[in-house]
Amino acid sequence: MHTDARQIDNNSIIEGDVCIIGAGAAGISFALQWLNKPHKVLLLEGGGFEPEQAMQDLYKGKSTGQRYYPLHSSRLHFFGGTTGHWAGFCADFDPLDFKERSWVPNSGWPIERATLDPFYERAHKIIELGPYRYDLEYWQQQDPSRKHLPFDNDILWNKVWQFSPPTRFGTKYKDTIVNASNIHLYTYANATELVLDDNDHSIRHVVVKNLAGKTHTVRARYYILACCSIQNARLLLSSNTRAKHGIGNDHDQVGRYFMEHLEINSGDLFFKDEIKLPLYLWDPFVTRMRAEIAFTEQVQQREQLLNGTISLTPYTGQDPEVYIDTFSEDAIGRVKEWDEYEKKPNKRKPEDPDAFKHYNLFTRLEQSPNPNSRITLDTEKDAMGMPRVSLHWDLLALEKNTIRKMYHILGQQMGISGLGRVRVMEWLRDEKDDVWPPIVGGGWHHMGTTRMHNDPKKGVVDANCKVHGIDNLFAAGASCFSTAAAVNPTMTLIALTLRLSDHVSTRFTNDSAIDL
Amino acid sequence: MQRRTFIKSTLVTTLALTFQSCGPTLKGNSAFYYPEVMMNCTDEEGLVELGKRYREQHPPEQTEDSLLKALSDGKDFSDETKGTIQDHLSIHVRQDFLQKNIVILDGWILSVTEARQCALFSLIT
Repeated sequence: MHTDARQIDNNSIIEGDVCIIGAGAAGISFALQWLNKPHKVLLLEGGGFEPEQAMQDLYKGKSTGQRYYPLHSSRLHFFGGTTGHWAGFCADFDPLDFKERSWVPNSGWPIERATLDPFYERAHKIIELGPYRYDLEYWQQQDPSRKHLPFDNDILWNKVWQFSPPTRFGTKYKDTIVNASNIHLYTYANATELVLDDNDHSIRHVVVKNLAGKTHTVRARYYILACCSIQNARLLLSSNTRAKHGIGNDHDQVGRYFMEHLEINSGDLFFKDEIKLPLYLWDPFVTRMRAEIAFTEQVQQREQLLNGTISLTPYTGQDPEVYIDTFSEDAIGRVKEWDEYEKKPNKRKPEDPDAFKHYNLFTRLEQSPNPNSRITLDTEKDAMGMPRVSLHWDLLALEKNTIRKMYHILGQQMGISGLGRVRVMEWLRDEKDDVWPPIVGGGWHHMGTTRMHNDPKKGVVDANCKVHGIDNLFAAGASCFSTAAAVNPTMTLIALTLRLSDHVSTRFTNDSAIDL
Repeated sequence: MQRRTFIKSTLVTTLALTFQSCGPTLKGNSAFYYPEVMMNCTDEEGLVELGKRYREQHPPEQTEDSLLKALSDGKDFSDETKGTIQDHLSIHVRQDFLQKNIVILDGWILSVTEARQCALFSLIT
């Protein structure tokens, strides 16, 4: 069912069993698990079914520290959320990403990688991926032309990505959600405040507003924050009527540990002979899997590396684009561009790739969990009176040193293979230089602002994504990530959300047993 | 990133052919001056630049004699064929990488052996 919250009476009271705040990848994935269940699920989306400038403007904020993308255009504020412009990259986290690593401060999750396996498999269906197989051998059996570079397997390995079409949640799941009898979608329902009960340990209701001037009250047994990492933190911090520093923020953890994936052109690979590398190439909306060069657990430990990968792109005569330089502030324009590109009838089918001697090398690297990289509230307020955010994106020497070492290792392996040589870009050459160049960008992957930790002094949510100290409030999505891993977050945030959904479902069952 | 062309220099080709045809004189006229992989990865100008940078960073290795001595392990290759010299160098290049006997010149991650070869090349070009 669908209701436009601008059209209902002002000061309406909306009640249900579960209230999901945000209808992006996490919120919709959660809601889909409750189809036809005997519970009334409220799904609140701040925007409508199409992106609008006024809604994007609500996401405006400031950034300090390392140059970052505009906050209002690196995420989308409409039904389907940022899946409206994602590129479909999907890969699973590595086991090491969940472990405490002595060389990575604040690393470690309270859950293991194996916990997510069944949820990854379920996530595959939601984002229209192939079989739940990330072993290279499987993909090479499907297509023997996907040969890998001959590196030492104890040092480098080939991490597999699969590509979602990409699934645009707003298009793919609109009818399913709208036609579901027990899912009540409210568009133009921006959550602006969570209100605590008198005991200060549970949420009494959520205040929602829209630009039509309406204000409503939403009540549920359980509340799920699923409005993206920046917005999850913003909502918790802004809800400070009773909790002076914001809800769940007794220990000043909300908004901290903002993590991105550092994405940056880093070098060139020159082969002595032309070589075809279909395994490593990506053609947007055409390629269904590819590999990136990754570093084994033992090498990461020995060399004290963060987790990252190197991808290859044929050099075709022009230096590669620097995304942070070319990124447009026009989020809506970009969504339209993607739509038009996807609809093109003459998209190329996968074909035999050309052979090249020269490949550009691109790094994707986890940002180290850093409490000083954070979201805080600004003094400026948006059109609905909610404080805007300020992002301080803080990068460390550990990240730059990791990238430098990654390329030294790759250069060494290329040398051993005899196939060619690596040349690193200028910004990596001075080993004493810890300063980040302005070309470093991110993947628009926002993570960690309500991080998972069993200790409330070190995190915001527990191992079940429940906000510490609040009985009925959970966070869904990448805001719960304790570390960023090397890979794109979408598949993992969906898997984690599905796990959360199962947990909340169990809570209802347990509640019913207690009620009896 | 400056684009590199992959053109074998006429000079190097001449050197190689001269060596093949004439024989035993090592200096100025052997595969030691020809970093095989790098010749296919960058151009003559690039090799010269790399050679100069290596010599700047390694003052004891400024002359052809000192570089040839380092590359030949002090052995006499004057009667050896180009193929034998190339095999010798390839083994050393690979060993360099295995043992992390590596230098980084102008961003290029090279073995010390091939950096010395670039240095030799820069002395005669």
